[in-house]
Amino acid sequence: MNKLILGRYFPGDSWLHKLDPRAKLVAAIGFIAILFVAINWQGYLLLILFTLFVMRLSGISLKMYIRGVRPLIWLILFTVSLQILFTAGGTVYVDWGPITISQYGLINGVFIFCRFVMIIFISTVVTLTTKPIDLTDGINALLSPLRLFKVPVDDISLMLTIALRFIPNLLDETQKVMDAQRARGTTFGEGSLVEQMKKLVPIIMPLFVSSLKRAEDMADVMEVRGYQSSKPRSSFRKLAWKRKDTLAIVTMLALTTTLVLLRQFGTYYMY
Amino acid sequence: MVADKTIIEVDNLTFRYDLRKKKQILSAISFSVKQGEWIAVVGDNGSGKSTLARLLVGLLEPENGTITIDGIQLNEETKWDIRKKIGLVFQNPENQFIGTTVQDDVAFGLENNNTPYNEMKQIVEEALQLVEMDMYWDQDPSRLSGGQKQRVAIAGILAFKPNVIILDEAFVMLDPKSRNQLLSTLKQLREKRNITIISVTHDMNEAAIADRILVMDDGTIIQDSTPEAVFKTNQQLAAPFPEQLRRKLAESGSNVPQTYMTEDEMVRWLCK
Repeated sequence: MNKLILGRYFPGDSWLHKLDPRAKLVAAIGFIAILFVAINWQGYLLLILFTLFVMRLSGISLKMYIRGVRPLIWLILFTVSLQILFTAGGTVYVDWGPITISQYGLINGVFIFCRFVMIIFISTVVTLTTKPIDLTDGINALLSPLRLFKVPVDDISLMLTIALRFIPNLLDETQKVMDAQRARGTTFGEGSLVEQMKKLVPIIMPLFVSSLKRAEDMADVMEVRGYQSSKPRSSFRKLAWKRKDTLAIVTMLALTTTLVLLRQFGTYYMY
Repeated sequence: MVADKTIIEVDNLTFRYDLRKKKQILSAISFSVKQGEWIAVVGDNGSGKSTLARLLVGLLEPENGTITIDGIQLNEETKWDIRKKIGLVFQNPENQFIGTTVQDDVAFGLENNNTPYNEMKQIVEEALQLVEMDMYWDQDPSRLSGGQKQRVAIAGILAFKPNVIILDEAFVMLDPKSRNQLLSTLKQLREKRNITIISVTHDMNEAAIADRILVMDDGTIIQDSTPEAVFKTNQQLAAPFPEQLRRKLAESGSNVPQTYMTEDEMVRWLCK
C-alpha cells in the first residue's frame, strides 16, 4: 500500500527531516539543474559524493533509494544505450555501419546514467524526509509569486492538501470494494492482461461514485464552515525559516560555484 | 435551563427541490427556538428533517418564508455572517474532516475568516479542550474513532463561538459508546456556553433528552411539545426505552404510573 509516491514519507528525526520544505525543494531543484553543469569526471565525482552524503544524512537505508530507481531502470537503460550507440567521437571500439560504440559514446552513457540515478536519489530524499502536507505548503510558498499573474495558488494548494488527506480513505475503500467483489467470486491477479483489466471496471465504478458523493458532502462542509475561494484566507500552518535552511541553500550555492570552476579547469573529453 | 431570548425564528417556511413539481418538501413551517434550548427533530425518512437543517444554515434557499437567526434574516448576503452563529454537524464523520490533523481541521473555518495566526492558535486550543480532544491535537484522522471525529467537527464549529449547533443525524455512524460520550459533551457545552442544540435524529432515546421535540411528517410539523407530551400522545413514534418499559409494565398489570417518565424517574420508581 505504501508504494505510492506521495505516501512514501519515512518518519525520522534527521537534520534533513527538520529542514524547511521550501529549502528542500529549492535545493533539490537547484541540484537537478546543476547536474547539467557538470561535463567532466571531476564534476560528476563531486556530485556523486554530494548525493551519497545527503542520502547518508537522511538516515534512511540505501534499499529504500534503490527501490525508487527500480521502476525506471528500463527507461534509464534505454536512454543510456541510445547514447552509447549513437554518439560518435574518440576511439571507435565497434563499428556496425550506422551503429558504433565509441569512446565518447561510452563516457556519455556513463554520465547520463549517473545523472538519471542522481535525479531519482535526490528527489527520493525529498519525498522520504518531508511530510506530504509540508511538501504542499512548500509548493504553495514557492508558487506564491504566481499570484501576481492571477494564478489561484491557494486554491491549488488546498486541492492538493485535500487530495492528500483522502488518499488513505480511497485506499481503504478500494480494499473494501475489492473484498466485496471477491465475496461475489471475482479472482484478481489471474487470467490474461485484458481479462485482468476488465476485472478492474467493477472496482473503479463504485470508487468513482463514492468519490463524487464524498466531494458533494465535502463541498457542503466547506461552505458551512465559511470557505469562499474569492476571500483571502489566513494559514494555520506556518513555515519557519531557520538557520539550517540558509545553510542548506548556501551549501547549494557553494556546490554550484565549485562545479562551474571545475567546468573551467577540469579535464575535457568532448565538446 | 433559563431560556431567555429567541435565537431562531422560522416563519412560514416552504421549500421544493424541483420547482416544476408540486410536491413540497417543506410546506409552511413555523417555529421558534430560544437560546439554550435543546430541540430534537424527529420524523420518518423523507419528512423534511434534513432539508430543514440545510435551510437553517443557508445551504438551500427557501421558496417562501423567512428564517431569522439572532435577529438577522437569512439571505444570500447575510449567510456568511449567520454561519458564524450557527454550525452544522453532518452525518458522515469521515467526509467532514478536512484538515490533515485534528488542529488543522478545527482551524479550517478560522482560516476561511482570515483569523490571525496567534489568535487561531489560542481558539483552536480552547475549542479542543471544550470537546476533550486536546490530547489528540496532532493526530491524523485515520487514527480517530467516528465519535472523536464528530467531536473535532463540533470543535471546528465552537471555534466561531456560535449560538446554535445543528446535528444532522450526527450519531448515526457511531458506536453506542462514542454516542454517549458525544451526548455528554453536548450536554456540558450547553451548560457551559448556553449553546442551543438542534438535533435531527431517528433515535428516540436521544430525542427524549431534549427540552422539546418537533415531530415532522410529510413536510409539516405535526407536533411541537415536550418529550413527555409527545410520547404520551403519539403512538406512531417508537417510544424511548423507559417509556416502552413503562407501557410493558402497565400491560402486565403492574402498578406503574400512568404518565410518561424520564430515565431518572423510571429508575427512581423501580428502586422504590
